[in-house]
Amino acid sequence: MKRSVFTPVLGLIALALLMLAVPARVWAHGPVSGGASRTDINDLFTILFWISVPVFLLVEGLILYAIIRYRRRRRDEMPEQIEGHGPLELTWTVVSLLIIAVIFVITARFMTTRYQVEADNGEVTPDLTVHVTGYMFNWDYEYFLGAGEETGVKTTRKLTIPANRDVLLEITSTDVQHSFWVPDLAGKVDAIPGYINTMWLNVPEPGLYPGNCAEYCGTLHYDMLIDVEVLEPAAFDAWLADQMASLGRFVPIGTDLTSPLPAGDVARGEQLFGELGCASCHGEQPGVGPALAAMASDARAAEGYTPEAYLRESILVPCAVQATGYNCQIMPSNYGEKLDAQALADIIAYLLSY
Amino acid sequence: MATIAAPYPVKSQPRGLLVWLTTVDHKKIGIMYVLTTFTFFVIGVFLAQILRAELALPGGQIVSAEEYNQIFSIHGSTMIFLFVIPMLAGLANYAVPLMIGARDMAFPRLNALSYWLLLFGGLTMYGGFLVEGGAAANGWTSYVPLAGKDYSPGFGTDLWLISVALVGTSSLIGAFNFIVTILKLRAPGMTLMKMPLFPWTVLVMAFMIVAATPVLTVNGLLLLLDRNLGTQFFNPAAGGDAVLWQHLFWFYSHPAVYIIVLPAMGIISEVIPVFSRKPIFGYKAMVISTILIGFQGFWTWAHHMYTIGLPPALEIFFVLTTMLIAVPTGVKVFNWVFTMIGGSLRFDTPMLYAVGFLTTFLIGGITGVMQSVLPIDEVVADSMWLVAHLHYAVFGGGGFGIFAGLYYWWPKMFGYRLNERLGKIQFWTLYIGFHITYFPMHILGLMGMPRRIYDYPEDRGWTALNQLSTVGGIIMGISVLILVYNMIRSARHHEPAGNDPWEGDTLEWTTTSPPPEYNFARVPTVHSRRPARDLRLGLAPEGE
Repeated sequence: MKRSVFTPVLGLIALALLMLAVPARVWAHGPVSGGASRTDINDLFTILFWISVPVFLLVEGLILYAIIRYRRRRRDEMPEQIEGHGPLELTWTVVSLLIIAVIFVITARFMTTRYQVEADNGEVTPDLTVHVTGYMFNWDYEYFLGAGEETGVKTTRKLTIPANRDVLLEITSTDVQHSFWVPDLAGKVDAIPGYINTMWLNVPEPGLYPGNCAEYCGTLHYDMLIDVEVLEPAAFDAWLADQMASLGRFVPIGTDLTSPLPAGDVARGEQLFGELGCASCHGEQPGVGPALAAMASDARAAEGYTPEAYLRESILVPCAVQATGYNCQIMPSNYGEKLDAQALADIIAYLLSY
Repeated sequence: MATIAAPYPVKSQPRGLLVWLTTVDHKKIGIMYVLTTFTFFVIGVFLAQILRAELALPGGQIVSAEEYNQIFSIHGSTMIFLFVIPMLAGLANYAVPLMIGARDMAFPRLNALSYWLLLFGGLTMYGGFLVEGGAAANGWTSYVPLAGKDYSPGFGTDLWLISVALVGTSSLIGAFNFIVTILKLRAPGMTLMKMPLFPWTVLVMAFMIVAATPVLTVNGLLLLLDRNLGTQFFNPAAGGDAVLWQHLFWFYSHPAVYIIVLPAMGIISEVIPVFSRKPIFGYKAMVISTILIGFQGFWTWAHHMYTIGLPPALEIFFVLTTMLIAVPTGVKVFNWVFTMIGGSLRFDTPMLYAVGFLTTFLIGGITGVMQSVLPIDEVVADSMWLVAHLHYAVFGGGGFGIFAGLYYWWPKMFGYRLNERLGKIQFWTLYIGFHITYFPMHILGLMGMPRRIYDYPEDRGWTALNQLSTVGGIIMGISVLILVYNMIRSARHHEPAGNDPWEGDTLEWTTTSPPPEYNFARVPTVHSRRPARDLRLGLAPEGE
């Protein structure tokens, strides 16, 4: 009797060790996640919902029946001592397996046919490719025609795409993990540093679609919003052409800390401050970064700098001088790519208005 | 000259608090586990109240975003690492040796070490609130690179990692102790297939802990090295991998769901037959499904990572393995229901919690199958739906099981009952509050509300359901206060329980309440799966 205990135990341990071999297969990570369209997912959800409802009603019904019918009435009542029922037990095991099999087949068919993953193999050429980069606490978008022809157009926070076109998003992150989620368009795809994940969109209806970062990413995670603007194809083409035309006039300031800046406009600076997402970290109160008023007073108090030069350096090269108590690495270091001399001057003027 | 030496040097017996500080008695350790983890639970509930209050209205009202993030991180870590898992270990610590007719755990001193590691592990985590930069604020999942030094420079994260290592080690030592105790110290006649189901689930739980917990501990250690000694395991910029953390984390934390739910199911499998006056329906199927869940639990972890971009073949693999775990779970549910059917049901508080478990956990199971469907999960993952699902599984499953166990074994532990009337009020407030709190979260998730957010815009239409959820949270908070009051009041009123208040089936009901330090004056011989009932009804064979 004693010996028979150890054979199964050893078997269990051997199987447990065998299971540890599985993770080795998983490191093969590929840019394969895709988004099925919202309508398709709704259909799938509806099917699953109507499979779940009878199961729910059956089991809760049986529980309710047992509670009402078999409530103890007399204290001395001793029910029949039934230990089990083979055929009955076999029935519900097999029926459970069948339900799971049906759900699995529906899922597997959905994943192999309704997903647009195959497009990655070159079967579908996207009409527009957008490189999506998440960072604390904002999103940058770079637009490419077809599968890769550069347009040079970049936007921040707001993504503009055409309706009824195949749009490929290539999603990554420069700092921590984020997740790109616009609930009314598709499921979510994570933005992970070191990986590029993809999502396909083909949106039938023009409009504004709000979304959020869905993977907790730090203090202002809740404020890492996404705005997707879907335009009629003609309107989108016009928008893109307009953006490309203005590119010719756009000379990024880069990390130029010396050449003189034009006079800044406070109102325009305030607008840019919001559009570029600066307000996420620099608000009225200290947060991830110094508060608005603190930045102005720091700039005025900085030794060896004019206030303008101090702010300019802090924006373009955030880690040159670090404000005590804050982590300069959280501040994106690429604002020089997004700003020209005028825009930088406007923001500095706005900051010094405090 | 004949002097008779005493066989052992006579030591003065410790008294008062020292008894508890030095004890190696599994019952005292079990009680310390239960009271300590219950205290952690009350802390976790308090933190949850702050979270719910903050979410009742758009805009920041009560705490700052930094504080909110610390609070939800420590709430989750408390409930998982410091409440459900160790509370079940505590109940097992108390009940298992009694149920199998042993005099103590196999390694009493190691047992004490498990407890003290847990206590100091917990205090280490809360110590984060006292250091500069505050407690860890990376969620209970602590994903990298966010939890790395660059983005979480504070010492709170290091304390969190040390705490998880201490608690994990406590759990691991306890697991070895349970395995040896259950395999080697059973009463004569108690073969494995005559063993009650709670020790069975604890045995499988212990094997799962042995296989899974070291992975989490090592994962934490790698991150501690990354943070403090400049290694780059998780730094993608230096050739490390941010996703590695998630694989190792979920390789522990998915089995952890079953480490929680299995012993809770074990408690339910004890309570339902006793309060139905019937043997468990399909004992063998219950044992087999327990073992199957123990194995299957290790095959499903990547379903927590459907959105990171897995290769399609693996995605399908994890979809299938995840769904399949519903089969042994379903078998258990039917067995419980058919134990009740044809029985003579008595609804004392433990039974109310058992039925509460059944009706609630079923919903968590159904949403679990829905989430195993990858395209659905891509929508609901990391949304409020997920928060609803995990509370239905871990609170509706693990938590309700724990409460059933507390009310069931409390008379045995202390010799007096918890007041039944207060117990019933406490159950109904918790049960109703639970569904008001968590059910609306399913809908919020489908409406697009992410989890772990401090604030949300007014124009998304999420406010009303959040307020409903907060009202439910307040009802649950009141319910927990009623339970605390009941514990204190019942200790004062001291309503004697007797040895066998519930007409139990298993050996712990054959000894006194509370049992003597050696548990049984004479270790009983077991002839069936229900030895206490045999003795009570005179069914034991001659010679007993």
